[in-house]
Amino acid sequence: MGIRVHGRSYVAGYFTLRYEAVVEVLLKDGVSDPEGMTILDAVVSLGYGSVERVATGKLFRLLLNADDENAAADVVTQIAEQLLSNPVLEDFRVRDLLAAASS
Amino acid sequence: MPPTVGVVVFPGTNCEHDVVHALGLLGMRAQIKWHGDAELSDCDAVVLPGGFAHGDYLRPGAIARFSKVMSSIVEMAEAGKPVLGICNGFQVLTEAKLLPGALQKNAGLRFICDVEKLEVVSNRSVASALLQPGEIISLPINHFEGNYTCDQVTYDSLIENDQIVFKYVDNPNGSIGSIAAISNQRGNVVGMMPHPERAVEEIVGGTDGRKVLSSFIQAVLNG
Repeated sequence: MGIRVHGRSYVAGYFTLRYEAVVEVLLKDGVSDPEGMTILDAVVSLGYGSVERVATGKLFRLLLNADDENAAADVVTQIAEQLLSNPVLEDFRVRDLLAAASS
Repeated sequence: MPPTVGVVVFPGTNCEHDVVHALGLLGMRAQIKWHGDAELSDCDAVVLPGGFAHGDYLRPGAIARFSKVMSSIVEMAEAGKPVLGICNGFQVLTEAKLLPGALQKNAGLRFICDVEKLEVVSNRSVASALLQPGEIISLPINHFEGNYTCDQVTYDSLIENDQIVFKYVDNPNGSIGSIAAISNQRGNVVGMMPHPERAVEEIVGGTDGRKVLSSFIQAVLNG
């Protein structure tokens, strides 16, 4: 699961770990993506005829406190399922953010 | 108290006064209800009007679904009370899973504001009881994300259970099966992209919306 630790923080009287997760939401295969198709037209117009498909999506970066990686992954997955994606149209993936950020 | 329809307003809703006006014209009392009020106990039915609830952030209807008022709307839907979502209200009802499927961006990526011919498919719903299957009516549409979609299993079940209420004669937005409006299995919850409240007086270009809203009012009066 793509979650990375960002140090420790003091929450509700004890130390928890701070995690950062990136949730990627993409349209499912077969769902029409007129925005992606329009961008593909522009990409081909630019001269990159080798490109076959452009898919558009959304990316969310969440910073949260949790006891361990599994707990953080559970929370992020629940949020992605319930709010960040619509299962009729979209698939989501929790993935790592490579840049280190601290606060 | 006389029967009352609650007209729910989220931040960004913009068709609530049209709905109140249209229902009033047809003799039905309607009251605007703020989304932050959890109570709809004084209402016999509810309309979710069009607009851009919560700025359409994330997806149209995605944030509105978590408003306080939604639990009351879910209760009313489950109790068999009439629930009508128009345009953005339809999007809210799908996000809240009171109706199956979802509304995606129009094929062709254009915002469409036009009058469309609709064929009545089922008159089993609270929005079509006074119409005849096969009848053609004209209503305005005004949307960017009105392209109804669902998986094949859901589509088959919509047909099997007579849940398609209206379909477009000339599909303007790419909707699967040219669907313009659907109901739940029971027929008391309807979502439709066209705006019946904008077609209740000849001076604004038609009165076919009266047949839709009168059907809804009849359902309210029949309890």
